[in-house]
Formats: sequence, structure tokens, C-alpha cells
Amino acid sequence: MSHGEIEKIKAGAPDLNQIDQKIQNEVEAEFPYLTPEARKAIVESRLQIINGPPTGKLIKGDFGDNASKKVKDDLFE
Amino acid sequence: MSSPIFLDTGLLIAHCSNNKTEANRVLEAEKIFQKNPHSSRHTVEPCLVELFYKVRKHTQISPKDVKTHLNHWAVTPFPVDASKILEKYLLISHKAQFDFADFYLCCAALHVSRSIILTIDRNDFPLALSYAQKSKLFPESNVVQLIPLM
Repeated sequence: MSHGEIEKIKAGAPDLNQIDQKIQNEVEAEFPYLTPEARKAIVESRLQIINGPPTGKLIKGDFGDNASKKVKDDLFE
Repeated sequence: MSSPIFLDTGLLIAHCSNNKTEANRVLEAEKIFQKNPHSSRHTVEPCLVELFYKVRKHTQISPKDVKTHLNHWAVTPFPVDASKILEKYLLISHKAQFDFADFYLCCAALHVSRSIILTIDRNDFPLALSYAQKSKLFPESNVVQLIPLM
């Protein structure tokens, strides 16, 4: 890829700082009644959605059958 | 307008699980995400405690691996004032058949004018949500859509 082509791609790529700011502005406008910490949690989640899932491998485990329905069983046995 | 989505512990465990039934639940949740592409996704601290306890007891998954699972779904903890929620929970828990984590998640969701709760628990959540709505901690106009998955 030539230097010119790389520069062209860079010019067309979205500016991450601008996206970050845009989402922050949207969240502030949409949820003015929330605490700054809660708005930050929303911004962080939306940014992660835009950036896509992490590339790292998902390590999964064996929790037994229907573990998601029996969350409290372990806690109170 | 986007409605933040709140996830119960069961779904987070399903995401960390290699079980086929749980994988179907994960797919169901992801369909809801696709229908609400601009909705942020959250959980609350008591649900994280349940999740990490379950992971530590049953698997060799490290806390870092769990964080990767949360990042995969873009789930962030939603901060709320725990003391107010505890105060209300203590007033009702003598007659209510739901636990603190369920009530906490419902209260967190009710902080937002419109939100969604995804849960696998079909029994306790309607009651917990009903008590959270009656707690007078949140504007009556705030609406939570409860979506129980199979």
C-alpha cells in the first residue's frame, strides 16, 4: 500500500476523540437527571459497543446444567 | 431514545458457560441487543458478587477472563446509591420473596426514565420490580420493560 493510499484511509477514518465527545454529548442530553458516574457508565458501554467486542479469546467454563437459573442455590446451600 | 439494558446474574453466567442450553440464552439476549443497537448495557455490584462467586466455585476462569466476557457484551457496572436501596429493602424484605440483588437491579433500572431488564428468573423479578416501583425512590413515570428469557 502506498503512502498516498494510507493517508487517504486515515483521512476517511472516523476520529475516535470526536466519536467519544459525540456520545458524551448525546448521553448528557438524553440523561440529564442521572449522576455523572451513571452517565459515564452509559458512555463507556456505548463506546465498547461501537468499538466492537475485544479480540481476546473467551474462556468458558462448566457450571453444570441450568446454572444460570440456579444462581442462588450455591449462595444459600 | 435508547433504553439502557440491565442484565441479571444468570445471563452473565450463561455468557461464561460452555453449556448448550446457556448458549441459546446468550443468543436470545444478543437478539435483544440487535433490536436495541444504541442501548448501553449494565449490571450492578450485587450481581457481580454473585457472578464472581459462582465462577470461583465452579470453574478455573480467572477474574480477568470474566472481565473479557463483560467487555464482549459491553456491560459496565451502573453506579447507584446503595444505602437508599438497602433502606427500602429492609422495610419490605420481611414479607417479600425476592433477594437483595434482584431488588437492587430493579432499582438501578428505575433510575432511568425508560429501561429494559433481561433476566432468566421468571418468578422473583416481577415482584421485585413491583416493590421497587412502590418504593417512592424514583419518579412514577419511569418505566422498566422486563424481558424474561427461556
